[in-house]
Amino acid sequence: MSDMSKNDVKALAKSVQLTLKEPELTEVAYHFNALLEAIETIEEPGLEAMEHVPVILLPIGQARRRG
Amino acid sequence: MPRSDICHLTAAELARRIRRREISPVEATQAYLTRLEEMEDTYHAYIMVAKDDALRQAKERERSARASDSTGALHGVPVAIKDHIGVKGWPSTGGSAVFKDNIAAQDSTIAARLRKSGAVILGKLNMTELGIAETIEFPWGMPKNPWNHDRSTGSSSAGPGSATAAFLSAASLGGDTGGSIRIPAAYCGIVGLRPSFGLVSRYGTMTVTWSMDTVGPMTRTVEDCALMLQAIAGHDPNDRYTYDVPVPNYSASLRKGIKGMRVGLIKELVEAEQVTSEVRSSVKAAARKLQALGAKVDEVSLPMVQHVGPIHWVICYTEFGTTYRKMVRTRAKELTHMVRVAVLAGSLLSGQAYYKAQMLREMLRREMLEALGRFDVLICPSMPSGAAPRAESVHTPSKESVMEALTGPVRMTAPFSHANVPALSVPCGITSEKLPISLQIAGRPLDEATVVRVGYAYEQATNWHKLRPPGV
Repeated sequence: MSDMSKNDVKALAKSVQLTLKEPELTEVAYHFNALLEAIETIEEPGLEAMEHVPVILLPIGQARRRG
Repeated sequence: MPRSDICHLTAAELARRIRRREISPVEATQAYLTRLEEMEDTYHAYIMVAKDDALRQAKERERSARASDSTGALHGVPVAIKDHIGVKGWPSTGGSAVFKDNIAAQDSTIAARLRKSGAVILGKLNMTELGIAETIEFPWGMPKNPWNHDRSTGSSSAGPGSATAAFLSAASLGGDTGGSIRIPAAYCGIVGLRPSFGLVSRYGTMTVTWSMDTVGPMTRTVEDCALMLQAIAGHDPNDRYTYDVPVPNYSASLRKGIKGMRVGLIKELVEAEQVTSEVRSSVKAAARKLQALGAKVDEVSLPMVQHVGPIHWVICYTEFGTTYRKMVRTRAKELTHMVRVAVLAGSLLSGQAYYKAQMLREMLRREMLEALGRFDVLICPSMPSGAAPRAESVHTPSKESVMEALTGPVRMTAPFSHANVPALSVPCGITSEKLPISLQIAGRPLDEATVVRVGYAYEQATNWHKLRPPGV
């Protein structure tokens, strides 16, 4: 996948009310592009059938939750 | 006993001697305060030493011990806690100058529970800013690794690692998101436990990555770890993500032995390219020791752990980008450079990237829980090498350097964070550079009793936990 340019990253930041300037801009672009590439290139059979849940609760019987 | 020797007792032994009235809580506290006066300037393990308050607590413990024979398990034992844990009236900075004036209005649940167990809280321990990233910018001084001052202490619970290893507290509490207890524990040659998500209350602690943050013990022995965990574990009505289940007696489980237990040696983590031959051979020797103690050890393959770097960092960046979204818009200049860059990058990641990471996390979690159906515990190195050299620059030189960092040390620790299972780090060797090597033992959700039982059996059969850093 192709990287987003610094100008793209700057515009993306502006869209969420963040102002990016140097020296941060270049380094934020490195981090942003690296993270996106690393996650986007992972392909695993069965992935699309997975739920995207941040925290899994233990089945009832193993733990009773209150809240 | 000379006052200086008090600090070299384990927390459990000190508690026993206090119960037998051989040492008083005030003597124990004064011993640590004296040692801190002499050595803290070298280690920068603390952000704040609460000298007067600690002595007041110690005197109160003496009074209560005189009034009643029934005291808590840590009665009079001086401990310290990471600076993201709130203590009423004390600063809670999370290692950041942004929060230098933040005073906790009340005790966190775990601070209150430590007090209830009789512990004397000496002060607040240093940490990487907001618990984010391996950084070399510490507003209150860089915590030193007692084994080698030029090596990393590990992040983010750098202060608890340094203080516990340098005998500047009898035991500590740290925080672990992707390895922030186990990494400094391994680098500093102590014991560290990441408990199951939901076993220990987070009420009154600062958030880094909501879906993975935990608080747990950092101690010099597994017995101390069990004592500290006992003090803080259990349901808290103020934290709706704590399980309402009975808390087992961890200390009672320690001496049951491990005969017949099934132990899985995780192939992908033991054979990973980053693991040094010294670490690999120490962990394999530890596996043989567990076998000699009666466990049945087999290799197990968990292919999903190889993806944990990207999964972990996308989730962490997104969550702390969200947690600190207001601060980064108003006070970004007050953050240190590395943390500012990380929070800004996290603020830009897409929802799709975050949810793909969560889907991969779920695959990893299912794979690990399936393995834990066949094995009582899983083992692997805590860290791929001895304590790493400190970073020399706060700047990120390239995208490739970020990609490389994604497969760094958290590869060993984060799989268990994402699976929400308990994981213990115990010393299991020493490198040719005289740096500690550690074994990681992970168990089923809420089965800390088995994890500490295996750790204790291993520890008692070896002498690695008795090694001291040079000069301490």
